[in-house]
Amino acid sequence: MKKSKKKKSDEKDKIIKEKDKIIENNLNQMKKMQADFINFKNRIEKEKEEFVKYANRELMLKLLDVLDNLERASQTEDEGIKLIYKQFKDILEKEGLEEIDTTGKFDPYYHEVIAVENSDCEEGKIIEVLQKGYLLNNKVLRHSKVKICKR
Amino acid sequence: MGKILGIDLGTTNSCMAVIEAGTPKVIPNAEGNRTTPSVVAFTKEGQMIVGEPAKRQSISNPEGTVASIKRKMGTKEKVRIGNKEYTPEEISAFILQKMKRDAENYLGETIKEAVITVPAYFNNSQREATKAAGEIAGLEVKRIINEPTASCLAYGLDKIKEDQTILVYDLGGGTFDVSILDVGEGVFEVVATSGDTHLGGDDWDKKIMDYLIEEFKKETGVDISKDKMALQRLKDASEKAKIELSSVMQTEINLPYITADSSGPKHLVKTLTRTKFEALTEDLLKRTEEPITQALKDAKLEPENIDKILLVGGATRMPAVRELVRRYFAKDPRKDINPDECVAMGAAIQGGVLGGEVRDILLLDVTPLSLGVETKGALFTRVIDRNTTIPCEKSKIFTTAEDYQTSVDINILQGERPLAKDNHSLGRFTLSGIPPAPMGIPQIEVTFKIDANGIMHVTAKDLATKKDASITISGSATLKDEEIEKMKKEAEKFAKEDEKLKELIETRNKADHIIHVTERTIKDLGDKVTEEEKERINKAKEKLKGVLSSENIQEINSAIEELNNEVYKVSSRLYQAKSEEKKEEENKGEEDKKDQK
Repeated sequence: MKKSKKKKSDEKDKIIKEKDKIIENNLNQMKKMQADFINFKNRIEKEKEEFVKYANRELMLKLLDVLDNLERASQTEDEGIKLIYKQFKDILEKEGLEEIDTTGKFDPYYHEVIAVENSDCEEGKIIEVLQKGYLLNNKVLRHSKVKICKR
Repeated sequence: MGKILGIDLGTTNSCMAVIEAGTPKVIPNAEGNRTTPSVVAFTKEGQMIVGEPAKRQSISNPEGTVASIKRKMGTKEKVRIGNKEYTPEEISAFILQKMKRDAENYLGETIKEAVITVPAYFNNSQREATKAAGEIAGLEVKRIINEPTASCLAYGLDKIKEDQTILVYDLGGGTFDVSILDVGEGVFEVVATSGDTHLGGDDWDKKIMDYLIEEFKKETGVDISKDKMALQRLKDASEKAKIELSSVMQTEINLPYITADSSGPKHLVKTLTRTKFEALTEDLLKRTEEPITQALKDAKLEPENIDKILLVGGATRMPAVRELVRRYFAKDPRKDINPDECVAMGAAIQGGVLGGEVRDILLLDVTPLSLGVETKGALFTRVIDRNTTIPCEKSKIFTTAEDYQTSVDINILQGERPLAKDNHSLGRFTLSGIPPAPMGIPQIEVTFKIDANGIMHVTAKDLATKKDASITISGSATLKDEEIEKMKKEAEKFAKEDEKLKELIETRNKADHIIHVTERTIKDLGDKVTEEEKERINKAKEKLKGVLSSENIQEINSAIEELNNEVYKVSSRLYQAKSEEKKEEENKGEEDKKDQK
């Protein structure tokens, strides 16, 4: 009689323990979700700010092709094209576009090496810009494609 | 406890993801991209760079740049840079370190643990090496899993009950893998693998480039294959064309001033059709077919034994690849998950399972179709929009359509069409005992509540008496997948006609309402309205009643306007007369009325 009672209470203890475990699991789960959610919210806020600032990126990147071509065309004698190129570039610059500086040494965070030249020059110096690079609001929009010196 | 990072450590590109709120999310790197080139470089100054910047300097520093280190994992081969030697594990660790750092910056928390994927054919020492790379990077590698298994996880195939045979077609930037898996009850067994370690999306770009160079030479006699600058422009344009041809039938490659000769500047302008592109790359596509055949042979299976095909790797976006798979297996491949990110997402899910973050109950469902009730004129009014994550709860306030209506019939509908009859009725009930009142006065709040198991409770409550009635609809009463698809398609197909019909009904409802209000106003005003005015209003009213059943929305609208005008004339006359009497009081009363609305 006593034994079976003990057995019963053992079983009960076991069930309670199991339930405790489930409760604890669920509580942890909930805390994790809550934390996830708060982090998520904060990040979305941040991304929203970034988005407003860089929303034009895709469009600007596409327009760079046109800018390049206008620049190439403006190398010719046509005065009109030169004016259009300047006008177009001015507009883009007002939107935060800025040419990447290539006067110094190569920097992989801003430039991309397309070719190297082994001549009498300073190691790592940019000798030629094959395609201009641009920043948009201080973030790289397109890397400058360059030829650098390698000895 | 922190998050477990899922990492797809690839030959050409790597990708990472974590579980967030129960679902995998890809984390962008510090440069803002969702995949990171698996390239490590050491500059002359002894600086180490990883990912995109490393790739950008590789031409100037080939002896200091390491790419495709994955091919060397598990070997004793060392990479010598300057006077230092690195094991493949160490090089891989640099990539993992960057990913860990970028993930930490993005998530704003420390990452200590990871799940890393490897190709199914990796042997034990290759797996050990991958694990070691993780540990060197400061990550506790909770598990190494097979890439095809990760893809299956991303597609939720661990949830299927019956045994299935899955083929994963993984065409990456530089490697091609085919794997056949037996999946059932959450157990994944790789039964065969095959592939081509030097075939990838880059080869497709190269074909376009070669074609353009050749055509240009034919047309102008100028060989641009030696011109580094022209080549770079061609390479970019070729990749762009390939990507575009996955969604359009033809694209224009437009490279003005590509070169110049004595006759002046030369432009490259070429239209490339998808058909031409596919003809150019036919041999490459063919090369993916042999490994499939081999894998099937090794597994002693026929194409019809494959239950599902998963497409993984960016290059599988090409329609020709999908067509090849469809033809080979006479079955549509699954492609709904971004093929570049599939493996990393699967790794994150595995991490989530290990961390106790992903459990069946947390894989939240969405409502596949909108839910709502039938309203006046047999219209469908949405309460919960489709694709809302459940559990959820939403209420909307409705009112009566007729004077002294004492009960409302709530017909619960599921679907996307504006007319009630075109949607699926899930059930109906009646809320009665509403105190008699003119139409539009009673406020009936209808609440839809769906729990995590998809069981829906709909309650209608009279806000004045707090009296309510409700119904419970179990998940099984809702539609099956095929029916849902059918309804979505129909909604698209009939969108225009439905919109028109809806507008017509809404216009009729408006007309009804105005007739009703007019009648009430005239009755209330009694003898303040002259007989002549009454006649004019009646005439306009009868005219509106006459066109009510017309299909012409404009006709109804102009009749509405006419009636409105007549009523307005009377009310403004009365208003003027009254306002002369007691200006201020009336003004105040009018404003109060507005507020109540």
